Amino acid sequence: MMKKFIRFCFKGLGITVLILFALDLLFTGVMQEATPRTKYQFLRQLKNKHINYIFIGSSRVDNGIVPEVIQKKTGKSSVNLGFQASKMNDLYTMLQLINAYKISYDTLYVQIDYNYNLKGYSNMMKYEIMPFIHENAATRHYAHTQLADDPLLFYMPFYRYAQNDLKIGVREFLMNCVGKKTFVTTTHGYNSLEGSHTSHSYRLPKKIAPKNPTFEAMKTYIKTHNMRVRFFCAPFCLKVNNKAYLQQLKQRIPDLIDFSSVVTNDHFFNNCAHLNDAGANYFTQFFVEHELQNSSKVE
Amino acid sequence: MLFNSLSFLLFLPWVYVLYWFVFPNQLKRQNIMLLLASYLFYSFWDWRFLFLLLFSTGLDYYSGLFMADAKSQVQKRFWFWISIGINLGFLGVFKYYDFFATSFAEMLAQMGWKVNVVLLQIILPVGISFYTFHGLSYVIDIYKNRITPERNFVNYALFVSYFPLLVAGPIERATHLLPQIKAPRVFNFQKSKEGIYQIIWGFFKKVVIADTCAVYVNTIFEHYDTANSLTLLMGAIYFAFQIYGDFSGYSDIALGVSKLFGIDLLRNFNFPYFSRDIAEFWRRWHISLSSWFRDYLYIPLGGNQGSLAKKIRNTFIIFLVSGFWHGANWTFIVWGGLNALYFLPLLIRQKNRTHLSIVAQGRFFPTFKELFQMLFTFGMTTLAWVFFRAATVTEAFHYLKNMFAFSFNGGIQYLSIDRYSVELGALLVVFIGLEWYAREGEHPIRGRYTALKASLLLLGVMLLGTYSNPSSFIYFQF
Repeated sequence: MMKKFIRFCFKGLGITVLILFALDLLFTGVMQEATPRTKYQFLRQLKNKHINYIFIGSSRVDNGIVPEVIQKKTGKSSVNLGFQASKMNDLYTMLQLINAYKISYDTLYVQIDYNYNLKGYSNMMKYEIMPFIHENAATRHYAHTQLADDPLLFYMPFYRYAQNDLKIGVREFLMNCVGKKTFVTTTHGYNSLEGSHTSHSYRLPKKIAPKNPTFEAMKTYIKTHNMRVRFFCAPFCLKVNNKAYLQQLKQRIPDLIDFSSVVTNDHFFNNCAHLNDAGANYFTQFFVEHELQNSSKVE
Repeated sequence: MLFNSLSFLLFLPWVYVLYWFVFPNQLKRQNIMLLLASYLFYSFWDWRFLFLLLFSTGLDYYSGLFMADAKSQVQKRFWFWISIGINLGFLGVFKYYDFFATSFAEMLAQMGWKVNVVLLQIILPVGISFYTFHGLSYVIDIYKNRITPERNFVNYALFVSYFPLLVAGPIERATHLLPQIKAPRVFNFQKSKEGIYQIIWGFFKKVVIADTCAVYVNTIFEHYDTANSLTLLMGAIYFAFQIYGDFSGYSDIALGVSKLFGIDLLRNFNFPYFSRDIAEFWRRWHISLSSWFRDYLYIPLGGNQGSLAKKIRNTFIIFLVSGFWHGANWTFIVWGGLNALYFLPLLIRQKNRTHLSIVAQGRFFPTFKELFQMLFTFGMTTLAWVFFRAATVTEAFHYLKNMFAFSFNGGIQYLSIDRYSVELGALLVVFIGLEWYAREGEHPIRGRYTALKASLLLLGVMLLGTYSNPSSFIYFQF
């Protein structure tokens, strides 16, 4: 009797493990093959492609750079790979991913501002990278550092989907299955914001962090891999507090291209740190005229 | 330790192996082991409150013995009231003191006197209402000469602290559980298999139905002042399913786990949302608590004997006390009172025992009359649940006022919840279908193809469960 029950339990356990493996394979397979819905899927799709300009950074890139404008003005291709709430660690991961996916480019623009002072990782990027954590050395490294608190996310099949069911659970799986599109593919990664709510100012850090080891590691990585990278600071509204921080940042990163005060009209901002759609178009045009066209003349 | 936690997943197999493999056919050792496991289970929450549990257990154990050995009725009565007094005193201090103190201060403030009350602000020991009621029923039964006291402390302590029922019931009776604890348990394959199936069904109710509804319920109840009528209606319906899935899911897991150890616990739910009137609902919802109040409060008060006024008084007492048992908040008292009001017409017309059988028994579809009765009863209970869920009575009234404002602009507002929307409705329809199919048994994993049905439900648990916002069981707070 007892033997029979143990057999029954092991059978049940076996079925559970099988279901977990099958679901994991199914979810991962669908998310790999589906039309990109997330920024990360969009990034994967660029594998082995050549893009003229790549932009990485936080929401200030995500909401602030319009690849269509660049295409129209210069005839060159560009992608916006900004992730909401990206920190320096995420930017470093992005550099590694661009290499891992063998995406070639002319110039890679990296947004640096108060994120120099921030530690940690972007949750948005965490959710989006989750289905692909086994894919290459960069994703595996990301998983082992960022997900170290919960190793089951890496080792237990389907656990990563269950634990993040709000973002990559069954609903997202079904959306991938039916190919429901998001802004990502149509705008080359640009995520527009509407409206203007600039009544509140934005407070930059008072002091720059003494050192950011991730930034230093990133610089070494850029040098080692011979990457053509330019750092830039996206616009803030004029009401921004603690502007001295930006001066300190420029001293720390002398080659930083400072666009922090190039947009002076409050109506171009959704909030003090993020441009709205009109502002993004204006700024991208400015960026083309003062950076892309200038740097191509230099070349 | 939560049933839906990784620690329980590790805890259960260890206890099981020790129980059946290390101490097979050794009743005494099996009981000691189960008792120690139960204390370990409890101490995962807060080991300090283990002393309270031990004290309560010791108090009722010795009170039972002293009552049985009492030389006179006066002596017996003395020990009886000592036990009742201390048990209710603990419950009063830990669960109700702050409520009474603040209510008293508020009352005085309304009369113009300002009083600063000292609040204890003690965390409520998990399961205190449940194990106190275990002890009370035991002591009352001895006092009323219904049972003889248990002389073995381990057996009695296990009756009170048996881990599957320790923190949220079912509220057991000595007459039902103690004989099972004292009798040698023989491994029964069918019972164990049945236990596993019931656990799977319990998990489905908890993580798929209750926790998914909870995501919406929490948001809607937080924004009740701005949400439209349709959203608020959905919020109330989702809560009806959340609380049912949560509590009956817990009970199913508890019953299933207990079956693995060869012990049957009292059934706590019997498809209450298929009730045709409120009296039937209360025979099917939290059965162990309803029957506890019936046997130890309603019947001693005279039950349905005597004048109509007395019957109405007794009905109100039992519902109000039952409401108050759930928590120290006026919302629970109003919820109890509302249910008493629902019950009243049936009592006056002596129709409260009309529906004793299973609805549409032997048929697949209910009649239109039955369907209407079930929907009406569900609607009434759903309205009452708003009081149960709301933080204050005022909030509940505003919620209902906005719900009956009939503003439907914008359809159902999901308030930016990035999860199921229409899918949740479909999920609930499937759940109701499964429950309907199962209503003549205990759960839907029965009849033919049980392995397939269990596997499909397991798939549902893994695929559709909410794991990113795991919530504790609602009844842990009571």
